[in-house]
Amino acid sequence: MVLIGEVAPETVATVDGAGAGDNQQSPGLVFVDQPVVCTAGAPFGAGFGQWIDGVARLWRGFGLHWQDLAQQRVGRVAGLDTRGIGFRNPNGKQVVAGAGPLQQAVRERQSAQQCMGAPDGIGQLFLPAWLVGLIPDFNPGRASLYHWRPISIVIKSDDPMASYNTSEFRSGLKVMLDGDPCVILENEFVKPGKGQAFSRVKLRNLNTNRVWERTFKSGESLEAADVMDLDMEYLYSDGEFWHFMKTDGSFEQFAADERAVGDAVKWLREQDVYTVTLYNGAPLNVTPPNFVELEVVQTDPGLKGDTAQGGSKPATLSTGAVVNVPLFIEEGEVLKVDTRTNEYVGRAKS
Amino acid sequence: MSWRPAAQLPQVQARARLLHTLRRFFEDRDVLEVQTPVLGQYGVSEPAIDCVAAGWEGYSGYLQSSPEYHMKRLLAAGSGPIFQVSPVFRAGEQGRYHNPEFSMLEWYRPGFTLDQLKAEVADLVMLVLNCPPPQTHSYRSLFQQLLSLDPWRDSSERLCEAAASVSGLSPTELDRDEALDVLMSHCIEPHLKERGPVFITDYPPSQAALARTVEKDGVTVARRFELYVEGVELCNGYHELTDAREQAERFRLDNVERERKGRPAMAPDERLLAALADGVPECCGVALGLDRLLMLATGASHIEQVLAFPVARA
Repeated sequence: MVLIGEVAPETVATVDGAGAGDNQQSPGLVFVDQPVVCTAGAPFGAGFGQWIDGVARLWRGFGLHWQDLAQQRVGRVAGLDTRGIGFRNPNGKQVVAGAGPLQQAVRERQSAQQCMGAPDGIGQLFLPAWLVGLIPDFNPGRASLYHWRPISIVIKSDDPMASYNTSEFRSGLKVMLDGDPCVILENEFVKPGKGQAFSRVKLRNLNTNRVWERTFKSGESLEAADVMDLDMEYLYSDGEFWHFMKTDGSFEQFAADERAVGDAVKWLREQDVYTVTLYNGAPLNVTPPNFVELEVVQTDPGLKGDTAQGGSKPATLSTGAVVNVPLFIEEGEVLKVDTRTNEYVGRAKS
Repeated sequence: MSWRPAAQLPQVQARARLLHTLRRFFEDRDVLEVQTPVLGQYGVSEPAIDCVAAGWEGYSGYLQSSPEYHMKRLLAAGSGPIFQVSPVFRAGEQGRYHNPEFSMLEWYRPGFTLDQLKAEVADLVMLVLNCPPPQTHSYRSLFQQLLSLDPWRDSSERLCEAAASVSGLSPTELDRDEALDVLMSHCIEPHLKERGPVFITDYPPSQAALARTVEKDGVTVARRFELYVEGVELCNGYHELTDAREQAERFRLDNVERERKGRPAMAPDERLLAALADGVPECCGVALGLDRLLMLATGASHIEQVLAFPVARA
């Protein structure tokens, strides 16, 4: 499953009221989440693009934590295969980018639309001013308001009957194996001497969470799994199900059972955004953001003056999660916690 | 899309230094540098190699997957010892240690025994990598020691079962050589990571298309060696086949195998066969993956780190 997010030019053109000379040039926003192209520590990239004569051109890009976007209520948008795009050069100032992968994405979308008749869904993305402020060299005064007007995002899923050849295997790809949906974690091409080529693949079974290692002969293929990662706001639990709502403005709701919610239950806070994995349209898994900020509701009193080293104690957070914290932490403080390791990161910056 | 090279400048410089070192190494040993075509009329027939076809109206040829055929024709013409660094092409090979276009260092030594050539390879690799002298193990002994399998005497069923159990492949979708390939890549190569440089010698004949065969310890072995450094397959040497009739027969068998695997048949290189018939001198030859040598020399973990423009950027 590949989500393609990009800006629909016709929609932008209607909202931006483009000025003189801009008839063929509509600004837009493109999000990509290929970690390899971003700067260190920024597993998510974002960039401003332009449509020029129907071709998307990225002209400002920057690395950005997806979690930061989630906290700002920006829905998950895209998964372009943009490994050709570079965002920052080593001095961190100038931004480099290219148009090829975006053109490719546009072509993919067009061909998919021709096959299926219509895009899967159109979401609204509100581009807040804070985001604009993150862009280097960006001068809002130079541009008109349309730079942070709502922009339509087309979200397109691949044909569910598609299959992937070993040469297309890459991490993140969702495939069916032995009747279960799996995500490819690693793919290694091996070819001993002058012999047969194989793909050695590590996959995580999304049903059981077990990691499998499997080998395929080069040229074999696997069926694509109808699995999508979507960002959804947690609404409430009725005791049996946990209810989530899409953040794309559609208000579409999904009920996740205990198995799907799993360990994420201890991080759930109403109105926060989580990644909900859908399999054949039903929640399969719920993943919290890598970092959350939560209030301490219970912990033993700390020692006065003990601000630096030594010792830790358990603290219960507002969602029920218990993490080890330094002795100086007190009830009522808001902490930043890494949900993957259950570890205290620091006090939240207020 | 970035226009920038994948390799950092120090890697680009390391490649230049390596080429300089190689040229001096061969010059000191009176081995002549040659240049043969990248585009040729014939491609190799080896069953597991797909050549990149190239041509135009009125001409069809292939980007060479190895300069071997042309270099053997130079040997037949009396060139004496020769070496070449050339770009070579293999369709679809892409991964941590593979790029569809890569650099091959290939050299031929008329009159050398395979052991003499192994010693020269060891000298070169020790010079470039500053590593200890390679140990030598036979293909058979590694399978026996590490897997308790005998690639000569065990049944295909047994080998395929063993290969299936380590890979998740079905035993029925593997033939004998594929099973050996699985066991080599999944079990033996990882083990070699912990050893220093290792020569593997005396391959099953089915694993060495262009090598001579001899009887050894009651079985027929191919006079082929491979050098592994830190588990990376670095080079492949043969006591070269110089018999035209035998070569023609292997071309034929390769094409039978290709057909079985659903690959297009490759026309036998008639010019090579003619050269062999006229007489290619007794020689040993070796092909070394230059990019992998550079990876080892610079500590790179992916071939793209040593290529200015790997295929995705080329």
